[in-house]
Amino acid sequence: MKTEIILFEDHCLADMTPLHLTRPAFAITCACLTLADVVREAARAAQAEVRAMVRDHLRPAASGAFPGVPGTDTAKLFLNASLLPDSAYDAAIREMIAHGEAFLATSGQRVTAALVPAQRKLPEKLSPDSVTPWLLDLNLPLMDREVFRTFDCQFHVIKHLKELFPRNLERRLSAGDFREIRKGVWAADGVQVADTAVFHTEEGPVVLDRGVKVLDFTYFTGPVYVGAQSRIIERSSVKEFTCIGQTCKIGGEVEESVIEGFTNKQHHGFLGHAYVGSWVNLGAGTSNSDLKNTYGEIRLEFNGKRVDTGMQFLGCMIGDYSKSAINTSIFTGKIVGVSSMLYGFVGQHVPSFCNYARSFGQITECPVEQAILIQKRMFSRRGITQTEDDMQLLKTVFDMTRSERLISDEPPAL
Amino acid sequence: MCGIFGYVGDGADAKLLIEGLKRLEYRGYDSWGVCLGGGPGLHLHREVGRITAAVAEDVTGVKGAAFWGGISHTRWATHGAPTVPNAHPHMDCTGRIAVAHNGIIENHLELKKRLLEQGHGFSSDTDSEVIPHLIEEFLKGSDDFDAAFRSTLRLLTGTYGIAVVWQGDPGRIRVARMGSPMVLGKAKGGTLAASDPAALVAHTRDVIYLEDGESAVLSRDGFTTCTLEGDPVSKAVHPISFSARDIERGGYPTFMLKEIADQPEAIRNALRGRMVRSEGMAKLGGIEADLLHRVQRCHIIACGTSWHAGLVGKYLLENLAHLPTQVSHGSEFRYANPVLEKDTLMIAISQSGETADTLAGVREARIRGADVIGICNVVGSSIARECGRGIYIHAGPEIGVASTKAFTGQLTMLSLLAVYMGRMRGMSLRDGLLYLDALERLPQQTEALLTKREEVRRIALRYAKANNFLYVGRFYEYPVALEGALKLKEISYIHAEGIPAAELKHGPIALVEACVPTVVISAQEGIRDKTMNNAHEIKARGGPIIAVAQEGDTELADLVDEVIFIPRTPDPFVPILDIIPLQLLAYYIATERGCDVDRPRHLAKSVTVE
Repeated sequence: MKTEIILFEDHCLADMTPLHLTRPAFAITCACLTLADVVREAARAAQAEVRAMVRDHLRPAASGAFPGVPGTDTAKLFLNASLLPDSAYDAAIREMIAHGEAFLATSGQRVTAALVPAQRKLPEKLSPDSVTPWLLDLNLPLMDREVFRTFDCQFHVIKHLKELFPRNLERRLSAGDFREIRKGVWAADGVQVADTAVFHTEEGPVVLDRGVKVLDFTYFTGPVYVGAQSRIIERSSVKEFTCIGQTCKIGGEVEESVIEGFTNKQHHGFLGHAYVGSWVNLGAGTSNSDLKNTYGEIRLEFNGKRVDTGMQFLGCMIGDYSKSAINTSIFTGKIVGVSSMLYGFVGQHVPSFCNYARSFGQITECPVEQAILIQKRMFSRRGITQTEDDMQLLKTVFDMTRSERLISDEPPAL
Repeated sequence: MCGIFGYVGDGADAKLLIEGLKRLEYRGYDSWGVCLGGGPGLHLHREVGRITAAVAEDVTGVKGAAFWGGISHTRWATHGAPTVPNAHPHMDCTGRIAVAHNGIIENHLELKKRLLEQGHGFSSDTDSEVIPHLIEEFLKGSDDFDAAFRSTLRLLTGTYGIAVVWQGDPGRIRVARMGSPMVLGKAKGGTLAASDPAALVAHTRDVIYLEDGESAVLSRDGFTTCTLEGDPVSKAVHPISFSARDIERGGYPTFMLKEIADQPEAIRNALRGRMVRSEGMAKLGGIEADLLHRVQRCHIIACGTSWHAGLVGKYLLENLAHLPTQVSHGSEFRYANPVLEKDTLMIAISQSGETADTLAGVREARIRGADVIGICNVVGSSIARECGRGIYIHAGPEIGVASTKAFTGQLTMLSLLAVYMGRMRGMSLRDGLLYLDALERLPQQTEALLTKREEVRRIALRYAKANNFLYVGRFYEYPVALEGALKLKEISYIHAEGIPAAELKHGPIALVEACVPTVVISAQEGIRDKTMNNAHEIKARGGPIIAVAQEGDTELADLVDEVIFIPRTPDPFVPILDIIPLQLLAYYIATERGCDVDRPRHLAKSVTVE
């Protein structure tokens, strides 16, 4: 029996804010892989097609990654799009498909996976809001162990980084065409490394993907992954458990962080235990704190609740398209929304589409038209044509996040 | 549980309907009503309280009116207090359709919303009233009543035994069954339908039983039966071989034994519509989620058997929902100057809802500003009204003085409450699903346990002459030990003590000797080995042991003198199964000693004095 994989978003994404606003949950990077990468690999081995079920506004992005609609005569392996992008899940997914037995698996409050036999017809309108109740109602045999874990809050991306990094990097390395150019330093085609660059790979390799340029006096401590066509600026320090997406420019000091593609952090400044989305620009001197002065556990307050992270180190989490001015200082564990502009001290969470200059007494809404204009300028610098879908995405997210900017009387805060 | 009686044929009048209804009063007695057809239309008469002798003039205001037939209903409230507007039969907006319903319509809120949008007006708080309005809606632009009736039935989720009359088709009664009984009988000059053969024996000894998904049309000269799709069904005739009194007790010699046997259905009713698998969650309609969200601790008040249920409730709430919980006797709570911390949820448990000590405790708690919810069996009872919010267990009338099905109903409800609050407070989806699945299995497991009646009876006969009993159990099974001992005490007058198993060695073990049987309750996984040690201690001192053990526990079976196995279920729900054999044990010991189990000496069913 042929099996299709359906990567589904569920109704529990709100606490992923702002990471989930502009990308499907399966496209969030952690430890140099996304869940889409892991599932694609498993599907290829199992000869299964992958379909995506995501929120309406992300359908164009998702259908680009996984085109087509589910068939009517195939068994369906439903996989939650919020599963950790753990390369070890590849084998588990393949085994589930090969075994072919119906099951339901959960983790915490969520359904993580379910194998639905071909006889069960999909409802006409299955959506992220309705898929979990539908799967639960099927009364499938409950798996007696927790096979998959999920990202339930945005800081989980940083929390799981260290654990996933070694095996995910190993997977990257084994799947690509890399050669060892120095001890523990693996480079793909077109990589240029300055002679003065220093690599410490005792604790893990440094993997440089296609076309990466490493300039003079850079300092690496593995494990580190640098995505294709990215550039590591002179005198920068890229430390352990950092993964950098494609076409980024990175300078200053970066440690245990995730930087999605097309983001620039060209200059000095510290970024640690942080997640930075795509198309972000951090101005010179932008730094984040990842440790409280009390050395205590970091507690986040968002979406009207307090969450103990269980982490002593946690930097900022910045949504796609946001920018910071020179010498912006972001306090420990702060969340910055999509397409916001930061100036001065950032001591609060920042909603999406805000000009945040609280130190100077100014917090204003950033019009979506301006965000669209900036998007166009940034895309053109990278040779990308802005599409209607790109613009619509910003407009939708602007509307979706309107309430964030209205929650407090003044200033706007999450 | 409610009772329906209908008659069409010669001599139809209020008196005949009420005579039939009285035979069903054991099924519910908080309100009643009749609807007679004849003359210009349908004539409705409803009252609150026990059935009285209404006559035709009461119903129509006209002396000497002639009727072609009618339906009647005695109610045991489930949705809406016992009031005249909530009494059955219920009518549609036009007053041309009357319906008597026994069962629960689970999707009534959704249906009512739709009907309200369509302009229907409702006059009761019941789930049943949607039925006449739905038929009315389907009849718009049509005079095919049978099609409208069947279309209505197809929309209903839940259980029903239904009897319907329509002014537009005099001389006919329609009935249908899904989960609630419906029996038909042909008498000379007329045809009858009822929830129970008890109501038919005065007219006929031959009956047919409708099965789920079947309906019938009754007329003076007989009836036709068909499926909900309208396909004809032929039915076998069964002779009635019991006396009317026997039938009231469902063929059982006592109400207590009947109520023990009712427990699978009582548990089913307690669970019905309250498990939402699509969320791995329980649903408790009578309590606002906001209230339960802010609760930081619970305080249960109850008396007697309900207090034992409360002790199990404490373990359930503490283990499944991580809520610190205290349990007080109603009588002690009131005079103990209780300290109620902020965000304490008071839970009052009472079968009758009239227990004076618990009611006083509820009032005391309210004065002190606590939020109180009730877990009662009797709808609209004083405690239910005083609390203003709560959960009904829907166990049906409990007539035997020794509480049996109310106890398992209370435990089921506390289990649902613990799962509900647990899921609110971090219980995983997986655990929620596992608990729901386990709860769903309980009715069948209870049915399986009840097939061991003869086995328990044989054990009871062997120990019926003992003058002292000990009951021991740990954790969830300690309250079961208390309840098992109470059951024996109250109906057999044998001295019995319930003790935490580990406490034996701190004193009570001195009582162990060959003539003192100990009931060891040990069906939990988690703590079984410890209880096993206690069983060894008893055996070492020559005490005979009757054990209640988990299926397959051969090690314990080899050690003890008698063993009753119960099916496997998660530890929190073990008490619901444990208690069944203990009720039977007490019952058979008491009957062997010649005790009146339904009316034990010095006791009353509902303790309304302090």
